Amino acid sequence: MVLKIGYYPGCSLHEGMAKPFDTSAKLVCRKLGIGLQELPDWNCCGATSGHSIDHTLNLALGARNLNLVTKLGLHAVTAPCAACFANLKKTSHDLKDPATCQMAQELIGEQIADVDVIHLMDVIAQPAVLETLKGKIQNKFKNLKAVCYYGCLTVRPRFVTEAADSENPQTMDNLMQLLGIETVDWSHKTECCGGSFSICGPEIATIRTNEVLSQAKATGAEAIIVACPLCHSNLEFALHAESSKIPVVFFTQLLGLALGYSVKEVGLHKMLVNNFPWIEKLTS
Amino acid sequence: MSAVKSVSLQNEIEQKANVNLDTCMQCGCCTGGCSGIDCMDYSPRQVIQLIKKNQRERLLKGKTIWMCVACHICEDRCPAGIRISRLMDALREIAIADSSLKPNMQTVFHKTFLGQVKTFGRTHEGLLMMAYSRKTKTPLPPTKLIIDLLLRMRIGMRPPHIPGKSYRFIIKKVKEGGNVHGA
Repeated sequence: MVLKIGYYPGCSLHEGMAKPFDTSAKLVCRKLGIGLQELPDWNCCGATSGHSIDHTLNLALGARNLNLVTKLGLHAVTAPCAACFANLKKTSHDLKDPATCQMAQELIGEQIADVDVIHLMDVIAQPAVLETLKGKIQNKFKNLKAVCYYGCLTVRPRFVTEAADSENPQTMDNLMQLLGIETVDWSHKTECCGGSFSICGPEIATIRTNEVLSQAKATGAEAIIVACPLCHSNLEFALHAESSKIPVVFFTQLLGLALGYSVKEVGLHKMLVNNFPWIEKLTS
Repeated sequence: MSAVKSVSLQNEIEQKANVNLDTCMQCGCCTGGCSGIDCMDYSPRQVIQLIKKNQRERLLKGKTIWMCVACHICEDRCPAGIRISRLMDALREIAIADSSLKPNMQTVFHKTFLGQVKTFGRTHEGLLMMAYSRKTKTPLPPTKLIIDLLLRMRIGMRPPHIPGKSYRFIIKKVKEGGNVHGA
């Protein structure tokens, strides 16, 4: 089965801090028969400055990206980055309003068709893909206790993201449990880490980050699994400052390990905590 | 701004953000979950009340709109379904268009970010960090962190992206639309 879908990497995955998220997402998708087609000459989605101070620019940026999906002959696009996903999804949602759609068409100078925006986690969690995944798992994890951290934008606001549960989501937990990881229930899985303010508002970002980290540590988790490059760098940098040995990793990297790729292939050697004994946690 | 001032703030926000503030029952669910509350002067619940009381200056000069981290907890939990994040976006947009207000760390960041997006079509984390640090005179991240990131090839070293014609077209269109608050 080959499932074709547009691929929007976003700035952070393309050439930034979250490159390993991009590499591992592509490997995993290839193995699972998900045909990712990167949008040619995609532009920044606008998150979070665009929607914060200039909604016209934000609409134009999002509409152009969505239009690139249509031009590839596709009807859906996936973004691994939570912020890109949420902002593109918001634009797709806003474009359902005829007046907004008219305005966007004038801005980009082209007709706009309906495009669905799906987070990569939900693409992989589709029943047919899950069946493929189950058949292709080569190594399972053993004795690995971790917390799944969804952050804000994979789930909220639920009337835009269409998340089944925005307070206690289970998609990532279910995926990770399938790989043998013991995922722990915890209080802060959808609390905000303040990632978008790590540069421009450290006073609030520090409060948020410390709260999320102290709750994650209290569970006794050995790793924090994330689906957002902003959460990732924010939590990783805070842990680095305190010389902590808890790795913060992308869910696609662990999927990659289970599917038989090496630590290097999925980019786990590029994490700030890069000496975690991943291989010892795997059983073939 | 003078023409806008004659319109009530509530009308302006309701139109800009497509919300109906009369459905707010002041229950405070928004404030209970708010991620930025520790650094705000008015809670989201109070913001709605202040909009209704036309307290434009207090809101635009206050800290709340700039300490909202856009986590969407407020609107996700609002029993009246008020799109509070959109309302905050609208307030920020009004504030940033008002040249009488002083810039702050957040406005400088947003403008630097969008300036880069308009030029390159994408953001470049390294360049953004340096530009912001220079403009606000804030120190760059700790040297040890930068070295560790460089050693792990996590900092993009390639020059910024050059966007195609269709991108430059839309940026021109947006600028002509007059809703651009400059880089």
